[in-house]
Parts: sequence; C-alpha cells; structure tokens
Amino acid sequence: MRLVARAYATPKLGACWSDLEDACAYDEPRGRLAVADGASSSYQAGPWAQRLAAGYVEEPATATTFGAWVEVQRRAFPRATVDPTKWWAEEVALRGSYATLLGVQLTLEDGPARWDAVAVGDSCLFHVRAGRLLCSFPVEHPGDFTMTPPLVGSRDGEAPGPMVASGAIEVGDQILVMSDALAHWSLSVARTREEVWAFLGGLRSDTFGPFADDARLRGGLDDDDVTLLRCVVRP
Amino acid sequence: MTYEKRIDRTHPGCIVFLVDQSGSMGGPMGGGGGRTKADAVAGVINSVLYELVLRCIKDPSEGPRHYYDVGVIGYGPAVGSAFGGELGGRVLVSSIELGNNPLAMVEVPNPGGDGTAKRPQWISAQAAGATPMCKAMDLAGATIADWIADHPDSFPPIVINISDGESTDGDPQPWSDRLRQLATSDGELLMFNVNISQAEGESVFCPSNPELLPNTAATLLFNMSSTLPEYMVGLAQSAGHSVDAGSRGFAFNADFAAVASFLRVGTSTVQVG
Repeated sequence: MRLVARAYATPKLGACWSDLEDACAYDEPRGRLAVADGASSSYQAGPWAQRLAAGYVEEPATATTFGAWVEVQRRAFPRATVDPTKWWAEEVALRGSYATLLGVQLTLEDGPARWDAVAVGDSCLFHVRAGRLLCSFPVEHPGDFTMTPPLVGSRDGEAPGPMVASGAIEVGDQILVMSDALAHWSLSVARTREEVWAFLGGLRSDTFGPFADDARLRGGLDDDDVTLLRCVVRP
Repeated sequence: MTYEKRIDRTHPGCIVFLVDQSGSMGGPMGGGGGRTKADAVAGVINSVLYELVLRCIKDPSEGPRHYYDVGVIGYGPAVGSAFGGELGGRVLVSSIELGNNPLAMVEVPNPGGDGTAKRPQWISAQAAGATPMCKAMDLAGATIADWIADHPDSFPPIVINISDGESTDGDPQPWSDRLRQLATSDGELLMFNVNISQAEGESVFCPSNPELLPNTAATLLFNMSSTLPEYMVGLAQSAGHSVDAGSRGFAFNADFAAVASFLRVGTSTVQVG
C-alpha cells in the first residue's frame, strides 16, 4: 500500500495568503499528516501553527511523548523581533502563541495497516470508506465545537494532554484532516447528506477555493481559514 | 444573521465610550479602593483600551493593525474627545494611532502578581460641571453616521455610556433611540449603558425583565439599552453572570468590579483578524 496526499487551503474572505493562520504538512513515504490551526487571538499564530505541523511530520508525537515533543517545538520556534521601546513588547513576550494540532501516523507496512492520531483542539480527522464515514476524531457532532478549544502554547509550561485515536486501514480508504470551520461544516451537512464525504474526496485545487467562497457566502461555512488535507490509500 | 461579521483591516470595528465627567464623578467609587468614580472609570477605560490594542497585534514586529476605530467622548464642563496628548481633540482614532500614542505610561498594581507594571494611559480623570449626556450622544451619532458611511459592511458600532447620574440637558431616551437606529449590513448599533454607584455589591447586571428593576431610573436605562447579541450572552455566562437571550446591555448601581466586568463583555466583538 502507498499513500497519496493532497492539501488545499484558503484564507478568510478578503484576507491575503500571508494572513493564513492554518498550517498543514505531510510526508507521503513516511505516512505522516498534520494540520494545525493558529488561534487568531494570539501572536504569530500562523508561524506557530506551521511549526507544529512541520514538527509533527519531522517527528510524530504520541500520547506519551507529547510533552517532550512540545518542548522541542518551542525551542525551534523563532521569537519575533520586537522594538523594546514599544510598550507592548514585554506583554507580547509574556502571552505567546497558540494553535490546535491534529497529527496522523499511517502504518502501511509491517503488519495490519492502521492509522494513529493525536489531537489537541478541534482540528479533525475523518476516516471514510466507500463514501461512508467510519470515524470522526476528536469531534463527533457539529454541536460539540466551542469558541475555546484546547490549544498548544509556545510559552513554557505544561502542554495539554492530547486525545488519541486509531483505526484499521484498507486500500481505497480516505483520511480527511481539516481545520475546524470545514470540519464543522462537513459534520453539519453529513447529518442529512452522507454524500458530502464523496464530495470532499472529489475537490481539486481549482475547485476548492470557489467551493469555500460559495459555502461562506451562503452562510453554512464559517468565515475562517479553511484547510483540507486529503489522503488516499492506494494498492 | 447579524453580529457575525469578522473584524479585519478591510472591515474594522468601531467602539465609542461616552464618559460622564461631571462634578458628581468626584465622589467615591463603590468597591474602588478609595478612588473617585472619575478616577476608577478612567482606569477601567484605559485598561480596556490596552486590551483592545493588544487584540490588534498579530505580528509583534509589525505593531497593532487597524482592526478598530475607537472614541472616548467626555461630557461635563464640555463635550468632546477625552483623549490627551497627541490624540487630543480627536473623536475617533484608529487602533494603530491609539497604540502608538499613549498619553503617558503609568505604574499600576501588577495584575499577575506582586509589584507594579507599566501600563499605557490615554485618558485622565476629570470631574466638574453638569451632565450633558444628550449632547454627548448627539456628537457620537454624528461621528458614527460618518463612520458607517465609510464602513457599511463592518461589525456594527458599539457605544457604551458610563454615568453616575441623570442627564442635565434633556431626556436621553430619544438620543439613544437615534443611535440605535444606526446600522451596518451586519446589524444595528449596540447601545449599552452603565450606571455607577458609590455603594458596593448591589449591582443589577444585564437584566431581561424590566418588572424586577428597582426604580424608574433603572427602567429608563433598560429602555435605552440594546439586547445583548448571542455571543455576548455566552461570554457573560462564562464570566459567571446570570444572563439570558433577552438580557439588555446595561448595568445599574454598578460597583468597580461590575463596571470592569461589563466593559469586558460589552467591548467584545466576534473574531478579529
């Protein structure tokens, strides 16, 4: 088996790409996927999300290694240069950056194929087989999204414990990883239209942006950064 | 759907404080640790402005972004901008200008622990003269009408009126009604009122039932105030306040803690940036 991954993202309506605070990273040969969503209320949210996603793909975290893994990311995160004469310089240094993280390690060789995921916050994984949802992690219902999800912070201190999940993989399965706005939309639509999973599986680079813009303007998709990382298990 | 517009540089928000600076504000503030009402209110507003500017900083090397236009209109011996220093005389300033032009840096008790911390100050306490609340609302209305013409699709403006007494230049209800008729495509202007008290601990916070209010002054404030949008109800509830979907944005007999809590909820907006 092998993994084929594609990533799509679009910033908030009217925002530019440099404002994007979602991040994703993947490594097909090593079966690693990650999406992180920077908290808009924090500083350098986008760069911190990029650090977490890239860090997971470099070295995946597990429940037992998560605390030490976060420390590695904090040390690797370059601090912004702030003019010390500005009154906000000290406060900014104290407050830090925050993001969600969802990382997936797929094991396609050496025994039964499987995925293992860690999550802090509400970026989500959906495991889809033949157009049907097998597993939604860590959020299962659209009403379970909140304004204050758990976050991984860049400042010193104990990291939140991640949630973990795993599942068995077959050829043809799709793993969809996405930030909260699209995850919320997908779970909401899926309550009445299960074909949403096949629809998401068919999006391409030239149709993703127009789909997101249209869904936002119709009111179903929150006006937030939107990221979809889709991978298909091939023979 | 209303009160959902994301605040960004293309669609900034607008927050205007109307601050009573009449002579009675020289009296003691309930729960204010010996400070006058004028001093305590200036302190809370400076603290809110500080948080507002920090909310506008995404990249610390860039500084605050233009996510808000902010005004503080004082009413007492005169009606006009309460900003001092470089911003003196300006009714509305951007969050960039606000961040770059504090009136002074002052030592305040460190909110995170021992000692003191340096914090920016934009307005200073004043207490003299009468209470020309209607004239202040008139100035706010004219200023905000111009702002809406430039930002028709922004999150609706928020106006917070803070006073310890009754208007001395007429009935404020028609003026607040006019303010509340101003609207962007995302909803009507949010008009909130805070009546501050010399006593501690008897505050009425965002009630939804006018029949339970203690007197006609409280009923007037109820009628002058907008219903809290859904997201503010959630914020107030998470701060421990007993509010519901019909709660109006006003506090009556508010002591220092109630004023600070009210302003945290009342100046919140949906997602920023």
